[in-house]
Amino acid sequence: MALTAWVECRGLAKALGTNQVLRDLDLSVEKGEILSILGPSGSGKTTLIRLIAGLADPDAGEISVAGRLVFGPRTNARIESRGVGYVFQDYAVWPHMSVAENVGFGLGLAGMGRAERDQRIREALTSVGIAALADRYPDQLSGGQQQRLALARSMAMRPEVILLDEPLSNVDAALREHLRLEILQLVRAHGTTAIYITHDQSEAMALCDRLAVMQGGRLLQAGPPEELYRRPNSWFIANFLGGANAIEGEVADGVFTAPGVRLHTTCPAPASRVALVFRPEDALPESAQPQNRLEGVVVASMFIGRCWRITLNTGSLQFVLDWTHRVEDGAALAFSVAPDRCALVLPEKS
Amino acid sequence: MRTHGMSRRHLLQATVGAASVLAAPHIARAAAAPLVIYDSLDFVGKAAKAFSAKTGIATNVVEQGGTGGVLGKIAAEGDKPQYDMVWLEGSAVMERMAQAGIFGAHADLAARAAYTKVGRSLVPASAMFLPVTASTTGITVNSKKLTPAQYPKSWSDLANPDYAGAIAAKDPNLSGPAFQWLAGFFQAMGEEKGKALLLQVLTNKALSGLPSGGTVNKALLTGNAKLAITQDSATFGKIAAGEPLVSLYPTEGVVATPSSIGISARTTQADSCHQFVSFVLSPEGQAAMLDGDDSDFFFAPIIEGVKAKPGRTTDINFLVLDNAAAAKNETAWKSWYRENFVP
Amino acid sequence: MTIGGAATSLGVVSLFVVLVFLPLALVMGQAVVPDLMDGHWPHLSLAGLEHSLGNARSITAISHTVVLSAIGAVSATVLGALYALMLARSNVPFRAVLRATPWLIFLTPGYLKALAWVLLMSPGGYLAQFGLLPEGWDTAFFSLNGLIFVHTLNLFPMACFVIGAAMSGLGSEFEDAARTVGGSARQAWVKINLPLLAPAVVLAFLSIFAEIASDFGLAATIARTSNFGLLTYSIATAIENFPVDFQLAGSQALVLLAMLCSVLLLDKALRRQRRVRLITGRSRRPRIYDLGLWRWPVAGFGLLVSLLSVWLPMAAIIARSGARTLGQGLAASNMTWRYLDQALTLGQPANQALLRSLWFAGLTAITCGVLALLLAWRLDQGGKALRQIVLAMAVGAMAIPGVVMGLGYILLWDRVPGFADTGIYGTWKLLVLGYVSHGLPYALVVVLPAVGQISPNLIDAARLHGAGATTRMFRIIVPLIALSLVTAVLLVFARSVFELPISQLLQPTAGAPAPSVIVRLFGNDNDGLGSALSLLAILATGGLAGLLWLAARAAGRAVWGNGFDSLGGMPRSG
Repeated sequence: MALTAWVECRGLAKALGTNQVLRDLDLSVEKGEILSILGPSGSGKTTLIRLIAGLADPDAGEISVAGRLVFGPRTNARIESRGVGYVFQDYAVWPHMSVAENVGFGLGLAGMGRAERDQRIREALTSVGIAALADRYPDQLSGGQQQRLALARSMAMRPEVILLDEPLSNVDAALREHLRLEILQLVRAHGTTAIYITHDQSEAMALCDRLAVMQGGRLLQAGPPEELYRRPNSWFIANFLGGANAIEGEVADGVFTAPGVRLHTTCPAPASRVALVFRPEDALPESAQPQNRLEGVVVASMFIGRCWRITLNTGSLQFVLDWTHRVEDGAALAFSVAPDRCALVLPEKS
Repeated sequence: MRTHGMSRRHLLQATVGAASVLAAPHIARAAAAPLVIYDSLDFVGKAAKAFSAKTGIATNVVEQGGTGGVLGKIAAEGDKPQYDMVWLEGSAVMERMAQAGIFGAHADLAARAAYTKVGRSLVPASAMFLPVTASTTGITVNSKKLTPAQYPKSWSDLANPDYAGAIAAKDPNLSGPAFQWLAGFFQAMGEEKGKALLLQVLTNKALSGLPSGGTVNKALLTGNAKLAITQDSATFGKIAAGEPLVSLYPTEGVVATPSSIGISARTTQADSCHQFVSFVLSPEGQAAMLDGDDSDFFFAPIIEGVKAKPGRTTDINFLVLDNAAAAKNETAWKSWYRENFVP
Repeated sequence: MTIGGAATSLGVVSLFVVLVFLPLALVMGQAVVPDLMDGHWPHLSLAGLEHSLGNARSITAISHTVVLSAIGAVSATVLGALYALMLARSNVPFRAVLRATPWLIFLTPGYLKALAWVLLMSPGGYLAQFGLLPEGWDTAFFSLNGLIFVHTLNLFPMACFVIGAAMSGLGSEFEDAARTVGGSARQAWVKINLPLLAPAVVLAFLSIFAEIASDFGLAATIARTSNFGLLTYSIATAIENFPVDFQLAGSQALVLLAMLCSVLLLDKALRRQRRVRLITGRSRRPRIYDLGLWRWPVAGFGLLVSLLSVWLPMAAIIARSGARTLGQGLAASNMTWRYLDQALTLGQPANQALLRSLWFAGLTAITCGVLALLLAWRLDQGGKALRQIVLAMAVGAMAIPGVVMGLGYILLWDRVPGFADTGIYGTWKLLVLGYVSHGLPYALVVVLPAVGQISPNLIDAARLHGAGATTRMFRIIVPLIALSLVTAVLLVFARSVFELPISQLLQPTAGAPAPSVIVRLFGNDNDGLGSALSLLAILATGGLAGLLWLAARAAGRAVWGNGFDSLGGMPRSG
């Protein structure tokens, strides 16, 4: 079997006790690509990257990194020979070593000379903006600084791939966005291949070239974030990525029907019995797409910054719409959705 | 009194010593297996040292708390003894071990020794253990608590109401010499009469079941006891240290308490053991055993030509214990004592 | 479970089987199989058990042990709780002395304090000589009272540590919350704090109960002098005879162990019932009560405890080590350097014993430190169940009296084929092994939680950076738990230097360790040399321990910067 991508997993399976954490999972990441893996907790995403790093062994399957098989039926490369960097959720910076020592630890073990090592440490710390803190100890750093240190420590090893395990979940919200950008810039600047684990969909989409969504130990869909957002292949992904309105019904010849609903769609149909999903921001004034019109009674309006979020009751269904202005509760409201925004997925319970 | 400087030098030596011991890969041991002696007597170390210096045969002296500790260890070791010789006080206890087949017979060694008449009389017929020194258990009084006129002359005098509740004694269950005394006391007085007298005399359980010679002396010197039934060597040791004690020997007779040595029937170094026993029975060996201040060193010699430490009474009319009778009644007598006099 | 995991479990279990279970089984077994060691086919017999336990003396020993342990545990727990409260929540002055006191007590053996109190309380002892001993107190002391007194002073630090830790974890939020809803300070304590502290109080009580029941030091000194028969001493006398009364020793050991096991089980049951997590790590420092002028009497109480438990016994030992006789008191004519000189002169038996003990204890401490570290590390990687089992075995082993263990060691290593063939019986190696079995539980109890607190990610991060097992051990784990490790090593060192029954029973033929010699000297009425030797042993141990600890701390600061202090040797995860 030829494994051609930079990081490639084939048929990975892993059970922890009686719990099947990963099932027959395939994944590939190209060189220099940043892949975000998004999934709720318990979906197996951390286990997946622990297998890639070698921190645990799969029950079945193959893993290759940088074109080299690191795990297979007869192969199990040692962790340190895999060329994998790993940034932990809780940073895992060694509290008894200074900032510089943390970064220099692995370099020293790799046999790097003093001068070169110091050079590398300086570079790595400068790249994350904490060069001035080189002599401090981790307990004298803020959470954000500790995570920068963890990142610098991994990057200094010049890994073939860097695995980031929810690195921002312990950082406070104000700093998170800023750090997210920094990580992105740093990884891109070095052309490092990265796999980024998160359960935060906005973080996942913001950071990556490609997005993969996992659930229940399986990879549901992978592709550019916009594609997943626009063309989710399941109700789960549609809902998980930013929330969506859904109507269950039948589709035939580009026309979706459900009791009281008839909508045109240009999106491909996976089956005749489907769920139609559209996002709150896809709601247009009724005049924009008169052939795709829906109406109901407003039950709530909330101001959410860039617009009003309106909850609309049509009798049997409830929709959430992003609207330009407030509408009084109890007033009637009609809206429309463009046919290319009416995505079709398998119904939730199939 | 010594000077500070001296102590400081010793402290330095000790520190250096500690450092060198800690640096040593293991505790140094002699090349040939040393002779191992289980004992509970302070002078055995001196004797062994002198023996090793003279013959070049290494010796290891193993001393535990008291006789009891040694006995327990010998019993636990069973048929895998780690000792070559056992050297304890009290012939009854040695007899019991001899009967258990622990010791070999050495009539030749006994024959060669220059025993005094008393010494010779203490050699058991089996010759399985050989007496080396002797002492006895008499009555010791605190001269600050009693006037000479009040001193008892005989065992029967202990019934004097002046002494009521003020007589200390060791528990024979915990002390070899104390059992030797009890057995000898019954031998001298007759068992029935002896028991009756003790029941009359030992009325204070806080004093009559003491565990060691040390505690008896403490009771006598700083405690509530006016007089004590105790080993005379301990008394002479205290007298030499300046304590106000007097050792008395009741007219009914006092039983000789020999310290005896037995050679293990399973020793692999019989020749060296023979040399050792011959040495301690010689004046040279006995001289080494007199070189110390503790009570055990104040023994009564039973080898011709050997003089006791100054101040030690040697003119004693010793009774020789009937070891067989003592060994036969040991369990019964010990538990009788425990039931009546140990709280 | 993987093959490696199975091998680890097997290794850990066999370590405990050899160190604890087999020796114990050989002693206990003799209670029901009298001819276990005689070489013929063993047969079961309960007659001996019935005989040994049915007699009045055994029953007295059992009831004495229960009564003493219960009363002693109550008084030590109460004193410890008050002491902890004083330290944790009041502005009492002289904090340095008051804080150091429980540690000083904890590191010196009970039997030395007992011997010192005998010197003080004897009718002609030091207190009487200074006219400080009221009429009749001497006889009152040599009884249950004295035993309770010395046990309380000796063991209250355990309660102080356990309850003090709970108090500082409790903080004052709960109490403050009670005050805000209208409770008085007293109500807040009685209704809120006490119930929350109850598990710690119960734990302290039960630990002290077990400690007193299995104690041999006081049983062999004050209790023996007072003829207050206790189980451990009764076992010892059954053992110290020819022939040994194995049936009596075995069956009494069985009773003692059953007693201790039920205490441990009770503790476990009680803790399962009340699952209160006090130490959340989030609590702020508890509020300190300003005692006003009352702080002086409170300090007086603390200093009195310190005086009685540390300084007075020490003074007695110092005085006795420089005095020719006890009876002539502190007169100049009675002073002598003889004993200290003997104990300090190389080649003198007392000095040899001291050096030997320091060396044995050092070896034991290092072995226990290494073993505890390895065990803790392997266990941390292994399952939770194994960890629980080992901790339970360790705590259980702590409760086994040294007398029983020592006898078991003789039987196992001198009599049982295979073990006897090693030839280590009668050598210093077996003594050190005995010390190790006695010290390892203490080391584990300190090191195991410390290793458990290291976030696994810290170790994984090191693996990812190319650190092999050895590098991870020495450059990540050891530095992270350094302070706990040093504490464990020092604790084992101090306990081994003074460990009495094992020293006596497993005394190497080549020379006795200090504890046997000290007790022998006191027993032979040579208190002076005994005191001198004790004094030097305490000074050497304390000095060495203090130096090592300070060095470890200084090294920690220098190498690991300020981070070290805040870690306290037990880092947070990540």
